[in-house]
Amino acid sequence: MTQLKQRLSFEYDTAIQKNHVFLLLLTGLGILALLSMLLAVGLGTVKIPPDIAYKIIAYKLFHLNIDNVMSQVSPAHMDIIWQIRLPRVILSAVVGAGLAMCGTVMQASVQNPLAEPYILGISAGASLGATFSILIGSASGLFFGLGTAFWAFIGALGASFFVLVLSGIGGRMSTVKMVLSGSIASALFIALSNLLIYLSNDAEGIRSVTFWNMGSLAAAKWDNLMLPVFGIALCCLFFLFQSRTLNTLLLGEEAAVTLGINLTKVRRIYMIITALITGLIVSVCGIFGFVGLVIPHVVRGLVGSDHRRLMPGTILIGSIFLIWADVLARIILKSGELPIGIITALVGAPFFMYILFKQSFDFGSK
Amino acid sequence: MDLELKNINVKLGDRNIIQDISMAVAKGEFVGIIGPNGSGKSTLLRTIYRIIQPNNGTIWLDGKNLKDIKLSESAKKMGVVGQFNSINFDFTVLDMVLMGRTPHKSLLGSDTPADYAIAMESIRKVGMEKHANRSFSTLSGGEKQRIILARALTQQPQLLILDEPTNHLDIKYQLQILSIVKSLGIGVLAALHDLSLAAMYCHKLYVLKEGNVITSGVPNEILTPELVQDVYEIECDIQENPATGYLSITYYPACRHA
Repeated sequence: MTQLKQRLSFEYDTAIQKNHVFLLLLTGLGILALLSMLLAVGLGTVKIPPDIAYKIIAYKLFHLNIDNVMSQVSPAHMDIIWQIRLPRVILSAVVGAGLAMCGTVMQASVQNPLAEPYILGISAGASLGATFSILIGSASGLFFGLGTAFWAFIGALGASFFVLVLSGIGGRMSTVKMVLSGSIASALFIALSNLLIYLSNDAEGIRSVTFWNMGSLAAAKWDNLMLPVFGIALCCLFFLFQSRTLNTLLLGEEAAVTLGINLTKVRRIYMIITALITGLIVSVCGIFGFVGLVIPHVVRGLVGSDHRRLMPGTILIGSIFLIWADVLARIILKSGELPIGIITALVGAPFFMYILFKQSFDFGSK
Repeated sequence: MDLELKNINVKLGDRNIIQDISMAVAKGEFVGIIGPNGSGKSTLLRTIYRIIQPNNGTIWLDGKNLKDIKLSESAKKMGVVGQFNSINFDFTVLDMVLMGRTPHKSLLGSDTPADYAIAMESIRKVGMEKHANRSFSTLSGGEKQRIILARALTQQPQLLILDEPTNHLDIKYQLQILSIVKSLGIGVLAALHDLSLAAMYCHKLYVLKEGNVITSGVPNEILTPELVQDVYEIECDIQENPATGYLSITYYPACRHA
């Protein structure tokens, strides 16, 4: 009897062992993410010795005056570390996690490994909202008090509902219809944004919109940080508990329904939450692509398709990726900085090409 | 667990696919649906496993209106092997089969040793225990189909819906799968295209033509050359084989008279 029991639970024990290995990997990634944040604070155009940077943070956080650091440091350096770099590094970590997570959820939800908020048109909607707010809102004095952030969020939500409704026309929402609706939404909202820009003839507004459309984390401040940090953290928590449903969605629409998943409802909830995250992110740092596309693919290669592993993996690796992408954006030019969208695209596009090639050689037998 | 359909109508677009169909599957009964391509077999099954809403009529599962049962509840009672199994993601066979436990799990519930035992038992039933740790996407079509069946068995359903479950299988596994399913002693509703197999395994057959039930009953009584001529528009000879006791159906070439 004991023997039988042992035999029956052999597969379970193997799974538990595999899980231990994975937890170890996850802890490693967590430490790597923290280390990345610390290192990133020490890097930038203004050379501040890393040890001074950490002493400033220690002083601000815990009021530890190590080596009497406060008397050695200029107030300018203090501000650079505490008011500029630290919020920015935190924002990049959170945004990276959010974008990568959105990509993972979208890909499972439409069963298409190419999906991400950008392809489904949600970011284009957010961008239209932002453009609208910057150009029309500020020019006419209307809508003041409702910031760009709010309008980006409304735009993202509007785009999500647009895609949901469009892909639901003519019966059940199918993957193909959803992806097509996403392209329609993208094309339409980008065209509308451009129309607004051309009609406005506002040179400064146009520059600001251009910057918006290439992304930057430069706007990070303590007071605009809290909303994205807590918003995205809550959404991460939510999706970490959705692994089983996400796995089931991968099996296809019919299979998910036969396993008891209310597909329409689940997709609707996921769409709204990913719209929330996208709106939050676009409102603070504009549009940049590829993070939600590339990170899930990389992590899938590392830990497999099972969302119980994939989800925590993408969140951490997404963070680490964007922290370093932003460091690069800050230090690569001698004067000024590069929009981060250029960096994510330059890193992401060749990588994505590689994935496509690899997939075409062993398609379906991976 | 019994299933009862009352006057089901299904329209897709403006075409009537299913017209006023009523049928019943009693506890432990193996019921087959036969009919030519396009006769509405799959649509009827998809209506039962809740992909399509019927335009009219009621489906009763265990005495309850299916509409009033939550999807996660009906998934505990009804397992489905459909014609859908293409995924590009790399799950192992065991992971794939474990997903059959989904309807039994709460949001935070993780798989217990008991779940693993149920999954492994299902994998053994379909003869795939040597491949439990292989990647699902490396399996052949027939092996995939057996794993999908194992996943449905892992749901521990009281009713199995099978949509041409043997269409990728060679004859050994066709017989094996149908025998496994029949040996479970649970209710089965299966769309089948092989008339001999249908006659061999089913307690009862429904014959579909253009969305209507033409006739129904015990296979040996209703399967006649006239029926086959009417439904499939081919000529055949049907006799009980004295050696096996099963119906033997021999078809004539399509243009015998030409």
